[in-house]
Amino acid sequence: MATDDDLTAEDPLGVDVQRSNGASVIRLAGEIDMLTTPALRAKVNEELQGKPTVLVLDMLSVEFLGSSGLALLVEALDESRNRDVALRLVANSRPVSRPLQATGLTDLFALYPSVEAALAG
Amino acid sequence: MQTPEPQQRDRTSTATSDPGAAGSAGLAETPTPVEVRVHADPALIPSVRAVAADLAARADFDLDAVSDLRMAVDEACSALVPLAREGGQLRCGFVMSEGRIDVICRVPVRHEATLRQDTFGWRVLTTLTDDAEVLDADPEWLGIHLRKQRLNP
Repeated sequence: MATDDDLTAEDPLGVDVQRSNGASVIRLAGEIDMLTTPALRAKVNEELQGKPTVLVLDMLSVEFLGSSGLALLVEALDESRNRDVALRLVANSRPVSRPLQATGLTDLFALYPSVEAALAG
Repeated sequence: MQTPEPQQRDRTSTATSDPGAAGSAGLAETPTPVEVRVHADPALIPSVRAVAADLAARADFDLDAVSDLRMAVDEACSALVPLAREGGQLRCGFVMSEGRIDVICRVPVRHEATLRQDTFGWRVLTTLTDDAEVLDADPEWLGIHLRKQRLNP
């Protein structure tokens, strides 16, 4: 089971992975930018390689989403389709919804208001 | 500090009334009411984008526009910092006027440095702002001028 124990307390992005019943939930807290995207990309790819039925990115506690993060989301979506994984985003606040909306990406993603709703599909 | 070498100052910048345009002193010294100077280090970009968001919020930008400006400044800084000369400064100046904010971000570069405009990041930057241009008239510094209106259309 992957945990965030390889991340330091000062890390601007917390990443916590929970797996159960074929679903993976990656809970993110903090800022997704040029600095934090590489480590997040590694985590997301690791989960996708495990081919869960559903991969949920819980972005409720994300405070900033930059273009590197948006690019990562698009990559993850492509890769999830290649691997037959249902990628679902949990986001309901401006720091995530505005960047998606402003760049015209909102409609590409399956967005849910809560992790429960995302797991239920 | 980055003092231009005399033999490299033959390429003069184009001067216009645009706050993003470099004057005769070059892009390095572009007077603005607010300027943030940090080491050109990715770890300091969050501080610069936070200043941008704070200025926009105080200038009564609507919340989406604040978010857009924070992201655009992050993108400009993220594009420039990797091009900066070792030990160089990232400088971001802010001009608040008539319902808009102009931002001029720049870094000292080697002559051959160019800023790619065929990237996803640049597309995001131009989408989020009302105007964005590369400032490459100064051989010693490379910059981005972006403009954001207080209200999104």
